[in-house]
Amino acid sequence: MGLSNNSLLFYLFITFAEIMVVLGIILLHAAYTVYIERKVIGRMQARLGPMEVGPYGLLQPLADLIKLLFKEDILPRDSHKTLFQIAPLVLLACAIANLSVIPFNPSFLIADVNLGVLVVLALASLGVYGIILAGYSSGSKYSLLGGLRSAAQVLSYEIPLGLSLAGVILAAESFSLKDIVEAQAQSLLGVYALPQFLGFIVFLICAFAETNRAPFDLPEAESELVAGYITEYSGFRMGLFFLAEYISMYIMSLLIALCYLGGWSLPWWLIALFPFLQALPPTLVLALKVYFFIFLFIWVRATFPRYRFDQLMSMSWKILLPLSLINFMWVAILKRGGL
Amino acid sequence: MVERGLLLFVLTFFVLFLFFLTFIFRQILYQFLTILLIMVLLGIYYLFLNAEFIAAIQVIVYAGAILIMFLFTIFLFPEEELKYSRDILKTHYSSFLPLGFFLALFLFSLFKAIPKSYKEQNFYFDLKILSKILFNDYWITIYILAFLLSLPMIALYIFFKREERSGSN
Amino acid sequence: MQSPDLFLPSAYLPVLLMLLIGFLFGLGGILFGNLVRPKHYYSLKLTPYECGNDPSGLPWQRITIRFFPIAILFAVFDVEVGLLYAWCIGFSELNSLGFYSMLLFLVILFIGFIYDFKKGLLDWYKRL
Repeated sequence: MGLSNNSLLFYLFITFAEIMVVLGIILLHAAYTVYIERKVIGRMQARLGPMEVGPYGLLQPLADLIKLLFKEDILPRDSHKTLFQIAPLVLLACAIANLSVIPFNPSFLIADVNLGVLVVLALASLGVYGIILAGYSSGSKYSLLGGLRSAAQVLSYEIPLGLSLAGVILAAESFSLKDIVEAQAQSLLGVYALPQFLGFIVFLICAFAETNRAPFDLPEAESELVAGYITEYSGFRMGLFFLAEYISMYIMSLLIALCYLGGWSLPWWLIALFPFLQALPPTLVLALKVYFFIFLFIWVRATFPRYRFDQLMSMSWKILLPLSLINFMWVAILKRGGL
Repeated sequence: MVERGLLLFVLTFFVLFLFFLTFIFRQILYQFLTILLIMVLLGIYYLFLNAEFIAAIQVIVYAGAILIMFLFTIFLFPEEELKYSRDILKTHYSSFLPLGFFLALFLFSLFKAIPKSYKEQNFYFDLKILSKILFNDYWITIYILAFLLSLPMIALYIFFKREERSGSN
Repeated sequence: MQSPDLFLPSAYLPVLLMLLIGFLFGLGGILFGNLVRPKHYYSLKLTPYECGNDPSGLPWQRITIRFFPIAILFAVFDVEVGLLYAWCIGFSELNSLGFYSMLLFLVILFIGFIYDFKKGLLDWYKRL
């Protein structure tokens, strides 16, 4: 690259500013998702949810942050001290770095790489080490067992996730999320969720499992695992695990919205039915889709009972893997047929 | 390109440093982590070769899948047994022999690889072309891969059954 | 396209930068917390949690071998997914040989998978 010293500095500065903006927005969203989650689940259980801090409890996330910062940070006696301290950071960094390849509207993208989807998958496979190391280094039986189980869960659900994404990549013939959205807008039905309905459902289920959310939330299965790999963590370190979980919730929602529901574009038949929708700005369209999936995450948490571990594993390998393969074959034959 | 040379130098320094750490660490999990970092850094090497897809596959398959297999194997041994094996390792400094051998090989190939002159070459990495060549012309490799991949799936069952039979005797 | 000799993967710099910033963000939070949080440790507080009892033995006991087949199957299918992605990218330029060989590849691996499935390697509650 023929970048002179000055323009390289400028490029770095612009990138840094973009990263800060995205990070600020996503952290604000993650904090308020906790609030919304408590509020929505409260309403679904005929309670009010947080009401005390600020009007309607709106300052609750701030209070939570202050509480987490002022909590004592305990390094357990038997733990591997270094690994114990690094593990949550690995998980958080791998969750945050995903945001760099995700386009938020047609012109805003931090890292314009050809391999958007593969970067996300690679970071997901590195994030597993955060979970395993947290479990191993805690020096507690529950942590080790919970960490291994969560890792096995994430691994098992990564395969159907990758296979159902292969359908999208095949249909768009590109790894870049921007190209996927553009190819989707020009496809026959406008969204990939309709021709690849099976893949969409598989991806949705895998998204729940990859983020360790209900109904696959082993760390919260108190009766058998206490708190899984988070058992020995306290204070801000535990907060980092939850932050990583909420950020990866947003990343999964963004991926679903971009890969299956057309991202910032609306399908032509919807615009034909309601022409006024064309006036919506692209970022808002994407945000609305993402908020819907975040609400779905919360809704499912309030509704579904938790899976047992053996049920969880057999669901991934025996049901989702064959289904995603069938979906892939279907897309391949469809595309070969010229559709 | 000065920047490229500098970055590759730093990268190689890190890889060699981690390489040495693998021998210096006494705890098997830390040794494992250095190998993991080396695998990720190898992915960055591929990025410098403009082979992004191979880089992603390197991280996903080697760092993500193969090393997880190693890790689960490490976890099969309790801590006491690992301590015992650590004591054995302390007495055997002959484990540095292969290190020296590979280092000599590395330096040899490094000096041999220095080109006489730098001129622009005309090959580049395009995944579309590569995919076309691989699947249209060299499709036989896919069947070899299918054979190789179905081997562990069948061997897994046979291995576990034999283990159980010998365990019951 | 540039020749590989002069190539700098500058498009991936923001990904690395974001990874670093994510790491530093977490580290900064912890270090800031270190200034303000209380530090009253005593030995009972530092014992690992074990439902109220004193912990017995080291936590790193022999784990079940059940996780091992999962790891191997994961590796196998990860390689498959990687090859599948390469196939997807060049799809429109494939001839029928390339098309059907990949489908056959999928079928071969699926037969191996069904073999493991039938032999009960995936039933978590079965003894291995």
